[in-house]
This record gives sequence, C-alpha cells and structure tokens, in this order.
Amino acid sequence: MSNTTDYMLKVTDVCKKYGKTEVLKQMSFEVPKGSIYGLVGRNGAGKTTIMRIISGLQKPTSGKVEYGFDHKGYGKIGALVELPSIYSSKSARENLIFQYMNLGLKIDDSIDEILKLISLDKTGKKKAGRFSLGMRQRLGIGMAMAGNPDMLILDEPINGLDPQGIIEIRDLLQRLNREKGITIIISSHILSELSKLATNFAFVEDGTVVKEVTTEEVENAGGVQSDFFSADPQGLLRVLKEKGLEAKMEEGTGIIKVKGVFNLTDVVMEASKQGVNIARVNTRDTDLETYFINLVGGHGHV
Amino acid sequence: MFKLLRFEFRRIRSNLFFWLLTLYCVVWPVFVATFYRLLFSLNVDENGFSFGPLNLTGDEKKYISWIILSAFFAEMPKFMALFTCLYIGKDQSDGFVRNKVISGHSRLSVFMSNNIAQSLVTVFWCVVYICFAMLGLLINGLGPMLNGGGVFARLGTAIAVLLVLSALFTSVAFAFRNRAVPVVLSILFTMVTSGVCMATGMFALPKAASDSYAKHFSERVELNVEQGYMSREAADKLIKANTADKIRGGKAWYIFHPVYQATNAGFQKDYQMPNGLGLTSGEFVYNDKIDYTDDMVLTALAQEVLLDKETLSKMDGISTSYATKNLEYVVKSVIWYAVLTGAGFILFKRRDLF
Repeated sequence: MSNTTDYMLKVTDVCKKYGKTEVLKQMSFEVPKGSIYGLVGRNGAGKTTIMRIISGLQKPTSGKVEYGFDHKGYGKIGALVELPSIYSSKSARENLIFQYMNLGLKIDDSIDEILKLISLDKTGKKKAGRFSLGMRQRLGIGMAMAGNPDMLILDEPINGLDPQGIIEIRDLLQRLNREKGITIIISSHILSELSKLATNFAFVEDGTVVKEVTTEEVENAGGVQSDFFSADPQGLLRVLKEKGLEAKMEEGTGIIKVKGVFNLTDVVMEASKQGVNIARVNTRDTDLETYFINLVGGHGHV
Repeated sequence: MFKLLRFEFRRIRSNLFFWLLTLYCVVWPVFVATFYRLLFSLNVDENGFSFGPLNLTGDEKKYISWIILSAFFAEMPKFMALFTCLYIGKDQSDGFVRNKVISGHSRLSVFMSNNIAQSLVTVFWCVVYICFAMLGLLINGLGPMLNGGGVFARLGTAIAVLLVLSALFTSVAFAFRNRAVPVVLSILFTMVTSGVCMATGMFALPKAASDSYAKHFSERVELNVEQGYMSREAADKLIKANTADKIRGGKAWYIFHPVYQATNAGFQKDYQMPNGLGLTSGEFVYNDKIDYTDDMVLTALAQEVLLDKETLSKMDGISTSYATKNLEYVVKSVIWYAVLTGAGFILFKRRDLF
C-alpha cells in the first residue's frame, strides 16, 4: 500500500448484508491522516458494522476498504469495537501481557506505562471480570493502544465512564493523536463529547454516510438558531418572513425555526402590532447535535 | 503463527483446568493399577477377606497391563471435549479472538495455532497417562509387561485416533460464539458415539472371512451328519440359520461395515476389547493379532459343531495383524484430521466475528 495517500482509510461503496437484511448500503467515506474521525448516527445506522469491517472482524458483502498505510504487519490497527476484548479471568496486567504476546512484543515496562495511562495500575490481581464497566472500557482502550498502532478504532469508548473518566480518556486520545500522530476513528452517543474530540465527522444514516464534514464546517453551518412558540404559528411565520428572516415551521409541532441573528425586540413589536402572540423563544448556537438533527430530519435520537 | 503458539502455550500453562486434568492423568492410572492389584490379591473365605500375594501368570499380567495402559482411550474424549470447548470458547465469548484478528493475524493462523495447541495437549495428557499407568503397574507388581515395540505402536495408534477427536472438538468450538453450545454438542457426541462405535465394531468381520466361515461351518455340519452326530433335519436347519450373510450380521452389516472401514469407529472394539471373551471365560490373553473368531457368537457356533481352533485359524481373512491395523488406523486418522481441520477452518473463515 502506498504511503503517499492523503487518507488513512478509504471506504468505497461498502455493502453488508446479514441474510436478507442490508445493514450497510454503499457506504463511502475517507479518513484523513492524523484526524480524529467521528462517526455519528442513530442506533442501528451501521456504525459498529463498518467499524467491524474496517478492523477485519467482518468481510463486506461488496465494496472496497483501502488503507493509506501498511496495515499488513502486526499491531498496525488497534480497536475497541462494542465490548472490550479481554479475558475476564485475568488481571489487567495479565491481559496486557497476553496482548503483548499476541503482537509479538517484548514484555517490558511499557505495560506499566499503559496501566498508568489508563489508571488501572493499582488494580493488582483483581480479575477483569470483577471490574466496573468503566474500568473494562479503559482496559479495552489500553489493549487497543498496545504496540502503538497507526490507527485506533474505538466504538463507544466512553460508554459507562464517569465524568472524570470521560475527561481522562478524551485527554488521552487527544494526546495520542497529537503526540504520536495516531489516526482515530471513533463513535459515541455522547455528541457533546464527540464534538470536543473529533476533527472530522461522518453522519451515518440507514447504512450510508449522508455527509462528511470538519469541525469548522459544523460550527459555521448553522450559526444561531431560534425556536418560536406561538398560539398562532401561521401568523407568526408570516410576520417573520415579512421581517426577511429564514423561518420554517416544523410539521406537527407548530414550532417555527429561524436561522441566523436578528433583533428580537423588533420581531416581538411587529408581531404584537399584527396581533400575533409569541409565547416563548429558545435561542442557541448550532452544535453537533443540532447539525445532526437538521441533517437527518425529524427528532434525531443518536 | 509462532507468536500465537507461544501465546496459546502460555495461556494453557496458566489454565487451572488444564492442570487439574493433568493431575487426573497422574493419579487415576496409578489408582486403577493399585485397585487391580488389590482385586487380584483379594481372598474371601468364611473368616472374611484378606489380601494375599499376587498370583497371576505372565499372560494375565500382560493383558491387565494393556487394559490399564490403554484405558486413556476411553477416558480422555470427554475431558478433551470439555477442555477444548471451554478453552477455545473462552476466547470466543470473552472476545479475545477479535484482538488476534485485529492485530493482523490471519484467521488460518488463529485457527491452526489453537488446533496445534489442542493436539499437543492431547498428546501430552496421553503420554502422562501412559507413563503413570506404567509406574502404577510397576509399583504394584503387575508389570508393565511390554511386548517389545508392539505395545507402543498400539498406544501411538490410539493417540493418533484421539487426535482426530481433538481436531473435531476444535472445529466445533470455533463454529460458535457461545461456548455452552460446543461443550454440550461435544459431550453429547462422546456419549452417543461410544455406543455407536461399539455397535460398529460388531460388524468388523470381513466379507471373505464370513464366506469362508460359512463354508467351513457347513462342511463341518455335513461331516457331523456323516459321522452320525447330527440329524439331517437339524443340520439343514443349522446351515440355513448360519449363512455367510447371517454370520456377517445381515443387512446391518452393509451399513455398519463401510462405517467401520472408513472411520475410526471400530478402534475400541479392535484394540481394547479384542479378547472380550477372555473377560467372561477368565482367559486373560494378550492378543498379537485381531482374531474375528474371538467373537462370542462365532466361538459358540464353532463349539456347537466341533469346529476346532486350527481350522478356524486357516480361514481366509479371519485374522489381521496389529501392524496392519495400526497402519490402517493411522492413515484413516491422518485423513480425518485433515478433513475435520479443513472443514472447521472454512466455517471459521466465513464466520462474522462480533
């Protein structure tokens, strides 16, 4: 594989069927080198399946997965897909020793460094089966990190972590990305966390990537958005459009969504003049969640 | 592959169940040898029971030695099934097999490293069992009465046959994510097949041997009629009831004999019970060949019409040397090992790992 490509991973028209159910439908995306690539999507959108395919656990029914680095050796890819792959009857240290042996690495002090990094250095002989979910997740990440892989694939890595644990893992991943240049592909339901971590996003819906964007694009996309609530939504919509605002009524709820910055006092006065009552206005900056909901439509539940 | 083999050996070394089964292979044969010694030196009279000196002939000792030495063949399969399925199943259920694949090992390496490790574990247990059986026999004054390299060749053949089971259990364990299913399937297999194998062994008689036996049998019956030992009517009835087809076992022979020939199903009958008659008649003889007339029915028939041992031994295909049988079983084992390993790998290769 050539090392001159800009991408770390290129997925082209990947389809995956389980029996008659098509889970991935011609999914395509490209992960830039050195990025933290966030996969955003609802449950069952196909995030875990594509991660399994990328990490070699499953084979696509059709399509192509290309790596922008030499991935043929041992330990070039580290992954934590869904559940941590650890021996429940072994301690954290023993699990890491087995992972080192699996990778053909010399068993040295770097095991203790990883244990310290994932804050499991004081667990002693305690078996992984008796760890909390967060501890298991951290051990799973530690196992994936063993051997300094070129690419890390992490599916819901902060699941079950406490707030402190989430911050620690975020810092750890940012450090790995910044200092060691490891490209990270990550999915999470906690979009606020993902938005703090990822540099690029792919929005996955119904087995396909509907859009790929950078953090900047998300930030610049919507800017400010306001939701207007009124007993007379039609009248209010008319007033807002007369004021030259980009307003849209949400079907079913009657909530009117307005994009961009405007003078609220002007709007309220104009509405009052025309006899339209405004019950409430919610204003917020567009975040990853809003971007996702706007993109996939309806009440997006990630 | 070597990385994974090192990995597996380290994992096996740290497996408590492995050491427990090894302990079984150490203790059990010594216990059985001691039990036999006590059994054969037990005197029961009106004063109660007491243990006297061991009074067995060389042949008897040789026979008992063989029974104890080869007992691992009947005992190991259930333990192998349990260990292999739990060991590989742990890799599947805990998900470590995914680490191996993600790390860059090919599925062939993952499968074969386990296959080789399980095979070596099987050989290790068998060797430990045999060594401690010899020790047990020795300290109890029962032997081991070894018959040159012949005994070792037979024991080696038994290990080869067990390796086929090891390949089977490995393949079954790799076919499922849930480790309970292969454990149940493999244990069931060992339970069901032991009965099927004994049944299959009953149909080992070659066609040529049964034809020859029927011919000699009817000739002897005719002679009995001529010599006035038997009436014509009784002779006709006896000949009709013992045609070559009936001696073979009727229609069932056409089903079970090909199974006997193509698989290792007849091993236990051929090797462990070749002198089953000896057990009931008290003639403990260590056979140097497989003599099909040792079968209780054929022996009883021969006795009924006064067919002597010498005539029986001259019949076509009525006996086979163990050297020939060893070779047959080893060749069959190699083929089945390859087939089961190949099938297991194909299933594993196609399986999605979750």
